[in-house]
Amino acid sequence: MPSVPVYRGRFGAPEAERLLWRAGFGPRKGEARKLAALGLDGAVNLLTRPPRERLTGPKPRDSKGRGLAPADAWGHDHLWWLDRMVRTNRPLAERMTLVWHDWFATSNTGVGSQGLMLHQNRMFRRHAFGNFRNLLHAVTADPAMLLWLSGVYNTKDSPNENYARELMELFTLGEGNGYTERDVREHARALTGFRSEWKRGKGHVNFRFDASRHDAGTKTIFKKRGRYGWRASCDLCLRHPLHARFFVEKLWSYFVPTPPSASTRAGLEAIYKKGFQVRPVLEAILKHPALYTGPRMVKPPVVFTAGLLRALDRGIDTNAWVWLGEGAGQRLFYPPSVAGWDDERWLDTATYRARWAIANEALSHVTVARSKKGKAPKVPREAAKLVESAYRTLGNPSVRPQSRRAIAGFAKRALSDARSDWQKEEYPLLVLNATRQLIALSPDYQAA
Amino acid sequence: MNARLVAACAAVALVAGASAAAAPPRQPARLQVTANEFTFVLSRSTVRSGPAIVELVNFGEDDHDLALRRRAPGAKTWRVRTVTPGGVRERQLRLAAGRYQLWCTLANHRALGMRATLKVKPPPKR
Repeated sequence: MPSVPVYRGRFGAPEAERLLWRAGFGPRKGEARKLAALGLDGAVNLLTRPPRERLTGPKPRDSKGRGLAPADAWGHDHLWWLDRMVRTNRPLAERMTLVWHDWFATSNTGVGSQGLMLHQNRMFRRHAFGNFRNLLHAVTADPAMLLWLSGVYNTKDSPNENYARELMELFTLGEGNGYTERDVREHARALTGFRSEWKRGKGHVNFRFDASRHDAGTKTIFKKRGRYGWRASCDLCLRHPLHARFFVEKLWSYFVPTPPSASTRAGLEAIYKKGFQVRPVLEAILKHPALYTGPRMVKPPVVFTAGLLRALDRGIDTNAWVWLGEGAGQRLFYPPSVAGWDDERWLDTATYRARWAIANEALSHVTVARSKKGKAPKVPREAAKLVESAYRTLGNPSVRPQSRRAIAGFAKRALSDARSDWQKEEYPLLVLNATRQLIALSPDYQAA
Repeated sequence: MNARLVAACAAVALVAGASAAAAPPRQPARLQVTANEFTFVLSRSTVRSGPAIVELVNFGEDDHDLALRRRAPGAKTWRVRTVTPGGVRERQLRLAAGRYQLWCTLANHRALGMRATLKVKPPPKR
């Protein structure tokens, strides 16, 4: 059986920091060092086999200081989940929930119910490290998905192909990968039977499978004949010879930006084929050398935001995260299409500007400024110490030497511009704030 | 410890005890009404009486507004002003227990189906 290589290099704070960004939302202050002390196996184990959930830190509030109402207030769904990302002690569980949200991308624009979206979100969280077969069954019968991909309108008299097509194209096989248009039509027949009721004021309720709406006839799927139902439809996809490859490549792509080698892929497929378990595949990916020695990976906007807040020990206290997330290209519960977010479009001139605003907002709570009485806070006046202080604010993130040099050079130049006494008093404050912002916006902090 | 210090400590303890016993301020009830052509969907069909925040979200392609009135003689009609497509607007109000009718007052939207019912429960007995 092909084996999957394991990283054998040094596992220090920088490697732990990368792991925490890839498999979570970045480290809190000192967390990378603590994780590094566990060694690679211990660190990965802690992430994939986390303790009981505990949310620590200030409870989330909206801009008016009110508690969140994720099912009943616009934007509070986003804030509610972002809060979990910030305060959780199970970062990988939350990150996997985000992976499934992208993998089975469902948008509230087509569902029209934050309550149903939250219901789906809880289901994703339950299946964070579980069995992909169970997850696929749960997604197929999930109310939000049944609305989003027209499952409730798929009847024996009027088959709807939406879910059948995406089941293969996006969820289990890949576009045009080992299936035909006839397979799409036949899968659609197998998936018939789900329904809901529409009640005035309540919307869609009472989601269920109704055998009277199911096409019980014989279907031919992947050249096999049978009286397939919806579970069999899912299972046929999972047992398709090309599914395991699709699964491991897709899961891998969430954690490592370069594709796996053929032998690594074969090793991961072998692990996965033992029973569709996600956790062992995930553990193999998180211990793979490519994660620690390969190129950096751009942080999705919510990961960047949650990570900044974790580093700054700041909770959710403003609705700004909703529109800032949207501006940066990631509004939770509103992926742009059923294909999810496009990771190659995280950074462009518009979204980068939103990232600037995210950093600005996150850092606003630690901005140094004169008090109302005009008293200036004590900050270092020497460039090197001032830069050190700025790094400390952000938990001393790993930054490459060339970025460090550029940031230090900026601080030095800016401070040396101070000529008059008032400038010498004022500039250190301004430069400290600007340096923090530059660190948060540096290529090193945007990617991990 | 002298008497004045004891008294001061006792006073501090009393104040601390009183603030610890005080119930946190009650959050207003929340209700989201999603408008579309031509339906209203409520995020919940029952809320408790007292202060409330009602939010109208327009998922449709036309403008919509929201009127809310308790089924009781002389009851006041609350309104959430017109929301354009993709928009959202909230209104803070105080709901008395009872059954409320909700509808869109624009054009013939009510007749086309933009109406719903909300139940407001009395506060729990202490």
